[in-house]
Amino acid sequence: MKKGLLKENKVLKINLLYILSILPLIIYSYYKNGFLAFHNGFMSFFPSLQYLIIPIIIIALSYVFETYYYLVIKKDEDMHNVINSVVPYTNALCYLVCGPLDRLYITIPLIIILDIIIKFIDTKFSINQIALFKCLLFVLLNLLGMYNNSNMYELNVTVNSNLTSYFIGNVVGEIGTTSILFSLIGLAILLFNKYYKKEIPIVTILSYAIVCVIIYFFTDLNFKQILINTMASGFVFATIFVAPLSVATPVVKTGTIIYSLLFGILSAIIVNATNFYLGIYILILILSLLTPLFNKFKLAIA
Amino acid sequence: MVLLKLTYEFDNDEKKLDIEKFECLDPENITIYTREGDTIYVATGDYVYINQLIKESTSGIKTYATISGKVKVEEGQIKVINDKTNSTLVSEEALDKIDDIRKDIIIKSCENLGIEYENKLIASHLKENNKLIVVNAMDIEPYQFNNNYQFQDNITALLTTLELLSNKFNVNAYLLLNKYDDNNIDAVKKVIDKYPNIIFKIIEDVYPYTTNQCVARKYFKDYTYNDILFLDTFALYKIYVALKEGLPVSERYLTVILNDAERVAVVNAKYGANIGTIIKDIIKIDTKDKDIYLNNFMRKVKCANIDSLIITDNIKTIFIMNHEEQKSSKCIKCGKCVEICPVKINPLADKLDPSCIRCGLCNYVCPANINLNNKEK
Ligand code: SF4
Ligand code: SF4
Repeated sequence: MKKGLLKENKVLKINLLYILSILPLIIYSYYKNGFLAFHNGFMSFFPSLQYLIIPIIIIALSYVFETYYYLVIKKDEDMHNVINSVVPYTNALCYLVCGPLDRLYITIPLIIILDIIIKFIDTKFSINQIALFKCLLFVLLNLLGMYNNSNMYELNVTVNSNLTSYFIGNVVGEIGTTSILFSLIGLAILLFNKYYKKEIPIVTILSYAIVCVIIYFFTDLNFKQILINTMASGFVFATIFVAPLSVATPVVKTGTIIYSLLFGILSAIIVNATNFYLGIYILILILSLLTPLFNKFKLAIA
Repeated sequence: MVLLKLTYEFDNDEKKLDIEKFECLDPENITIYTREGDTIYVATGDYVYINQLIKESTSGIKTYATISGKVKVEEGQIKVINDKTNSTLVSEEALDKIDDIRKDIIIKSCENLGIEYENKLIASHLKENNKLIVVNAMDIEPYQFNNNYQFQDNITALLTTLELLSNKFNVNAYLLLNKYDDNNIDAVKKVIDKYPNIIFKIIEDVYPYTTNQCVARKYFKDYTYNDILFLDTFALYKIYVALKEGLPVSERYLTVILNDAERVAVVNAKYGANIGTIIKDIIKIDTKDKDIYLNNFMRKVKCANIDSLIITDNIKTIFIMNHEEQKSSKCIKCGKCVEICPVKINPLADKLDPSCIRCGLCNYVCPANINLNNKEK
């Protein structure tokens, strides 16, 4: 017999695969925002390293906070809830969707404080943390007036935006969401995770593509513009990492498909008809809030 | 040697199992648990014979002594201390031939002995207007071989009884056999001509699709569940003994599995015999520091004290596994439990749908180790 009759705890493995899947993006984000900035003389060496150090601090701090939450507040006897927590991964994702700020370290307390707020909201509703994070973060950053002073690299080295640099991700945008290539590598890693809902990116991308074809025929947008909109909006990152985040997606197959269809169709409209890319995250947030509704679908069909 | 093929997470693993056989037909004592409302026909100090009526439950299910000896009535239980004689009460109703027995006599015989299947009197099953009789000669739960042996040992008796039921109640009778069980299929092939009324159906033994509910849904779509009289080989055997000898059956099979099927044993034991003793003294497995699961390890029903277990119809398999901490964590909403559910309900719902068959698959696939099917229906 290949396996024991009783199975081991799988959540830890699932979470490690999740974190592994965003490592290429984290490393690339360092290359783009840190290394290139240093290389081009916009930043000295040590500050450029913050793009490597801060995500690590965020992941580590998340574990510390989870330990505090479960062991001290919830009075758990052992660490299994900490080990099985998906929060370090979602917090790392949150870091990736932040803008490349001058004062990047501010993301650390911001993410941890938001994490605490969400912990208490989340016990009542099933919501997609990152979508919520992204919205809250955006509001906060705007309030603090920081996003406008994005780092020097963003301001000074705006690359000549051809399709290849969009694909690789060497364009203006959030810390880690711009690279299509490394998002796809992350997807390849996630596919090893049996518990990753791969039907969500598949259905989303298909429905998105169909709507794009319609947009192509019925508006005066050309193919290249649609492609650039898609790549610049962070849609691929959202589809691969944020939308399928299992804690806030339907558990019923039919519901999951409808969720992805809606996400694909509406995000195609948002991305191509508006420049309001944050709309993608608001959309995920709304769809996540509707999750209990999607879960009802199966019973109606079965 | 039995070839085993199971569902889903077992990767359709095929494994040849050497099954050891044991007997416990002369236990030191037997225990009969009693509940409030039961009618008890014996008192401390009485001497009882094999087949003597001991108690009757409120629903009419009767329990008989399976050994002869002195009775000790205690709080919540009755003990019979074996005096190792084979004195037995013989019924006057023993028949040479059961072929021309009438329908009402069949019902009466079962009623008199209060014999049951799935905690319901077989007599009341038989009285219902059944359109079909389906006998499952397979073991439903994974790693269970009781019905399998029951069938092997009593093939003629069982088929004769089924043929009789089919004739007298004028309904079609199906006998379900396991596709991978060559022994029984070969045995049936040899005698198939003698039983024209029985339809032999060979199906794939994939858990939990051999449970009665799933079988009804999959193979007998034209009938509602209540149209079908489901029996297993053991219930059929009880009917046979009731008709032929007018007596209750006093022993049954129990499967014992050690770890990942390192050892598989089938024990034929008297009702009421202590399972802890059987495992320690007869099969010789040390249960210290082991987890004991009843009937189906996937349901995650652990038994704290094996010494309190006795042979009854409700305990069919004992899994003895290395101790493992099974802590559950927060649900990650992966949806695997919903996906696997054979009756297509949502195991995550606050209240389980009544159609849940307690197969335990949702528990088994859950990566967060959540016990989903111990909720109220
Ligand atoms: S809810 Fe769980 S135990 Fe009940 S039928 Fe579905 S999978 Fe089996
Ligand atoms: S299998 Fe477990 S973790 Fe997955 S949705 Fe069901 S209960 Fe939640």
